[in-house]
Amino acid sequence: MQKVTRREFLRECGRIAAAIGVSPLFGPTIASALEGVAAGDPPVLWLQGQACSGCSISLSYSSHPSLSSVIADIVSLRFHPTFSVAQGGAATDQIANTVKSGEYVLVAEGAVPVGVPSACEVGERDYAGLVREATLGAKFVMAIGTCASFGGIPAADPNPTGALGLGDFLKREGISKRVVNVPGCPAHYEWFISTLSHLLLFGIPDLDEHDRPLMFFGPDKKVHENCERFQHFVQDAYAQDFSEGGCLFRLGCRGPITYADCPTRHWNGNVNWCVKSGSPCIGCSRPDFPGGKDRPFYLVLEELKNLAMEGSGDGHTKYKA
Amino acid sequence: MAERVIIDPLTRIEGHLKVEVEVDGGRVGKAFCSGTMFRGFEVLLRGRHPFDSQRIVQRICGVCHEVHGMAAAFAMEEAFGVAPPPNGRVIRNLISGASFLQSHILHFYQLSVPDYADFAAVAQYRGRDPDLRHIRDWVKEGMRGGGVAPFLPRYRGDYIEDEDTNIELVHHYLRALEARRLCSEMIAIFGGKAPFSQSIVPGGITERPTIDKITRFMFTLKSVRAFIDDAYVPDAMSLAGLYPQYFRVGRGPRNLMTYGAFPLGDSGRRWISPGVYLNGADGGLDFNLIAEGVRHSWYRGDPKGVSPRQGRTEPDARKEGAYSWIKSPRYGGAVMEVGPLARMFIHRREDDRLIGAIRSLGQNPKEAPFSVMGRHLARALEAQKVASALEEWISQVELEKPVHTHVEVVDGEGVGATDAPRGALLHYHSVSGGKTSNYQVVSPTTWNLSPRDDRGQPGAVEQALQEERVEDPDNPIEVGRIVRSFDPCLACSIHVIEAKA
Repeated sequence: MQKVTRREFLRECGRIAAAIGVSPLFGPTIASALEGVAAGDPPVLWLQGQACSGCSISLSYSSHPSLSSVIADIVSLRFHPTFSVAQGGAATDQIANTVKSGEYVLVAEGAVPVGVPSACEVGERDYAGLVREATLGAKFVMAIGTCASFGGIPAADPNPTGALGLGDFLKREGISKRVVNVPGCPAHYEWFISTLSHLLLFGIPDLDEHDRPLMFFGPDKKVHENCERFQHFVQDAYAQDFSEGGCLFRLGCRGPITYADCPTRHWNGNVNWCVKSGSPCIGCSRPDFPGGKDRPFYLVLEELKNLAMEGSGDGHTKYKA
Repeated sequence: MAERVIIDPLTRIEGHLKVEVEVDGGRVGKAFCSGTMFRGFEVLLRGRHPFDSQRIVQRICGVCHEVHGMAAAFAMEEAFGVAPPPNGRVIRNLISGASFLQSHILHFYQLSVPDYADFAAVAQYRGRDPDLRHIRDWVKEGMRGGGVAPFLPRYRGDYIEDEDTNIELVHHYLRALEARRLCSEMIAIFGGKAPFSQSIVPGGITERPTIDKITRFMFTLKSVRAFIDDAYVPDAMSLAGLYPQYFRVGRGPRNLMTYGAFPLGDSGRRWISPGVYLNGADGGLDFNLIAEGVRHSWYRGDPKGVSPRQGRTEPDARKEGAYSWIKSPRYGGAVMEVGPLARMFIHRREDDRLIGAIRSLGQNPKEAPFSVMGRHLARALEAQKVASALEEWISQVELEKPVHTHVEVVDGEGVGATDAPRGALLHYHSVSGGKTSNYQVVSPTTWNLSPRDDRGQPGAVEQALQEERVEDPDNPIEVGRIVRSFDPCLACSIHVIEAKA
């Protein structure tokens, strides 16, 4: 099998130690460190369930800090499915050793297929069992992205694999571990990194009723009210079709029911965000994303129909209604 | 005696992959590739508003994050009988092209280079580059106690020994992250954000071009291009020079296919045109020859395979003889490889840079392209080719011209076939009663990583693994190198067309 035995591992460490010009005596120390015995930067264990890697890729687009700084300066990224050099048995050992050593931050990306456990397997075992075990020894548990937070797209009607967000999965398993949800499809890299920093420096940040950090998803972060096109709404200037100027309300924009600081934070070097680019918010940080089959993205939702009364000319009155 | 070697998870790809090979006398006998995750995208779409499909299928994959949305738009435009205005078409190509670049760069530096470069060598760095010095200090300190995850542990193997080359690759690993970040900005300038640019919609795009956006795109592209020209292509060449044996490893089926990519006008013409290379001959592409079988996949259905239009299958997690959530698409019964190698080889007469590069490395241009290094070179050279096209296309964007055509939903069906960075991607969408009635995706990795079909033919990657040497079954570094050269994207390749009600 592909497993590296401890002896081989030590030999390899010795070789590396020799290569970098430190005494081979350092070998065992390196081994201990890598096995999570010695303390270094706070360990982070990243697992993927029913995911698309979009949140990992989003993190890789971060500028300050860059992904390399996150790895070198902030945490010890013990395992990441996309960026770890370890594979096969070395990867599952790395996961197991991190879990054993405890005191790590678990970052879970993707939903948990509770209905069809074999719909996601890692290292020849069900993801559900793996992530369950990984939450137990974790100091903090973070769900990154809407799939891990709330089930997201895999859990959309009719939820063919019985997918759940991590928090709901743990509740079902009778595990009372607080999961900090950083939703978004994908999660913004700054939401992730700042939440991680908060966990490491100050502990769990203030959360809303969906366990999302208030600093990004709080009541003052309603997309609609922070939107650069809000003024168009007040003036009853609506886009009737894609690529038109004006408020995107009539194109089904979920801004009025979505909480996320996209309008002020912007994406990708702050160059743009969905509504600025003319595309209605689809509410990707919402717990019910992507919504039922009767709630198409680009049609005005029933409950919002009286939000905009045509020709009132008084946005604020109308908005309060 | 044969030894079973299992690599699960095979990391540094997108998604969940298990690879199992039987090693006997240092060589791979049979190889089995298993996709180990599925979500059921098509069933989520049935009964939804057709436009929703685009936002949802886009999220099949976070690495090839624009192209599924693009294929979905193409399928709807065919179904609804509309085409985007020229400006919309050009800007979509800009978004797609930038996504190709981020994907190719990621694949080489973040996913593949760690199989070859010895990152520990950076501890020897004596130069003045601040980023490298920083990483050097981190590695040195890590070696003394803090650890250098995620770069260790790793398999033992024949890593690059030359110190300067290793340091250069570490340096470019870091610069690649920056170059990809710039690609994400290029995508977001016209796409709203990345991953999952929101501005692509049926009928065109929602973002209107302005001079500030055009200028920023142009100059961001300049930086990315410089990285591709000065680092990516030379590094791929130097890697190929250091590992010439990998021009004979991982040959695969030697049948290639592309659907083409980057529409050039309303005529259906594409900047990369569709084509196949089958049994040693070049030819045109006939969509009617495509059929997906499920003999060794966890689905009920016709083992021989049916056209994606007629695909009706149900998941069956306990199916006898099945070992993957991936189906087995075949082209007239043949196993096909898709991806940059297919595109660059099929079009070798219009653009001879792949063949030229292989010649310049002293390799046989007839044999060597079908290999691990052939794929890496094709990908790097394609990045160069796409980057120079982007420079031309950005100058075709017109201010004040429409970017979107109004679309009415009508009943019908459409196929959106285009190439993703990883290869041929097909979306099939049928609409009735104003709702999605059937949706199917046949993705690139379905072609490359398919399990055996009803005739027992192994998939492309399975074929590429057979007969190859594995020096040390405890450290099967060769297996990962072969599999990764195909740039697998597992999230893309696993889907279910119709779940049991």
